[in-house]
Amino acid sequence: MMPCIEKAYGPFRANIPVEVPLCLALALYRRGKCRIQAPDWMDRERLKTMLEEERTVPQYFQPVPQFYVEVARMLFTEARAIFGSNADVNEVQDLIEELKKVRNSKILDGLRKVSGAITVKLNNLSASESNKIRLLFEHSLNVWHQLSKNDKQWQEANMTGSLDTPASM
Amino acid sequence: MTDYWSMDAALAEETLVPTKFKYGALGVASVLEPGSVRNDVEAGAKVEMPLWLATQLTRRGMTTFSLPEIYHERYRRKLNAGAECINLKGRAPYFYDVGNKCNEFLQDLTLSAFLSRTYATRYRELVSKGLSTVSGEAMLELQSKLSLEELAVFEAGRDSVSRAEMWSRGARPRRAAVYLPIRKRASAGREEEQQREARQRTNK
Repeated sequence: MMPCIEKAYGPFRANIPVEVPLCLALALYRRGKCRIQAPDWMDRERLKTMLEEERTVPQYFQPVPQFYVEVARMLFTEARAIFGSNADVNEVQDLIEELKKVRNSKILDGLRKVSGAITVKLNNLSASESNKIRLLFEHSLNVWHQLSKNDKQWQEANMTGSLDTPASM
Repeated sequence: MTDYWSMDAALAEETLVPTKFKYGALGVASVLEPGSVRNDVEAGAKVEMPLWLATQLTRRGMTTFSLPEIYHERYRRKLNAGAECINLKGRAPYFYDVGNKCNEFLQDLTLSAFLSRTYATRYRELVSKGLSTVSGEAMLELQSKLSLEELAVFEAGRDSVSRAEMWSRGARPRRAAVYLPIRKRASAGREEEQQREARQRTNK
């Protein structure tokens, strides 16, 4: 057993799969103490169907693991051997790259349609993707909010008929 | 805009607006308008003054001001026709902030809708160019025509994209190295000298 802050991992026995955090798995892997099994969403067939659906359904995003970009990158840089031969690695890597590109262009298309301070639904966005658009999108929503709020303020004042004209403010 | 400490908000209020004096004012004409011959502003005179002054004077009922030229009908028509092509940086670097501020006072019914519409059209280009890698030339061209508020949005987008790219290349963000200039040595040397002098004095 290996007690950690979050919980205890283990028991570690030879040839029995056990679920551990990625950092621990990579640390053990570097010392040659374990074999990493690729997460099941990284299966070639599943990635292919995911990509296909991502392409055919432009309205919404396919559910992907929240950190799929990060996990994929770490596994590909540190532990290429777990996917089998070189050709297999490349194929899975290409699929994920393709998935990233398709989703990215979808996000851009979605953002381009926004025109005003409205709520925008971005379901199933992964962490790195939302991080990428966060700053820009947040800023422009702020601008819109200011532009629309500013109008309402004095229009409401006019409607309630209060004498709060700017001259007496 | 609403933030008192924001540098941009302060600079935005430096924008000149056409103002009409209701009463005469003594001794300020050459300040407001460096080329003027007389020293006093007469009642009913039209002078351009910064927004922060105009709003305060208008609040006290001493002046009235109107919208800067960029919000007039002529430019509105241009901006409605092709908002992407207009160079806002040269004409009105704080297009939205100044518009907002004027709107508070002048209560123009159509101004807010016009500003949002303009931003909506220009925003499309911001998204498509800000969130992807574009050539340096296209970027320069875009940067030279964005108003400063838009530029902030654009830079934010570029920043997050370049950070994501840097991460995927496996590089670390460059840390800005700050070296404090070392002043200690100079003062230490002076102290040594003083001590030496003191010692010499005692030796004498």
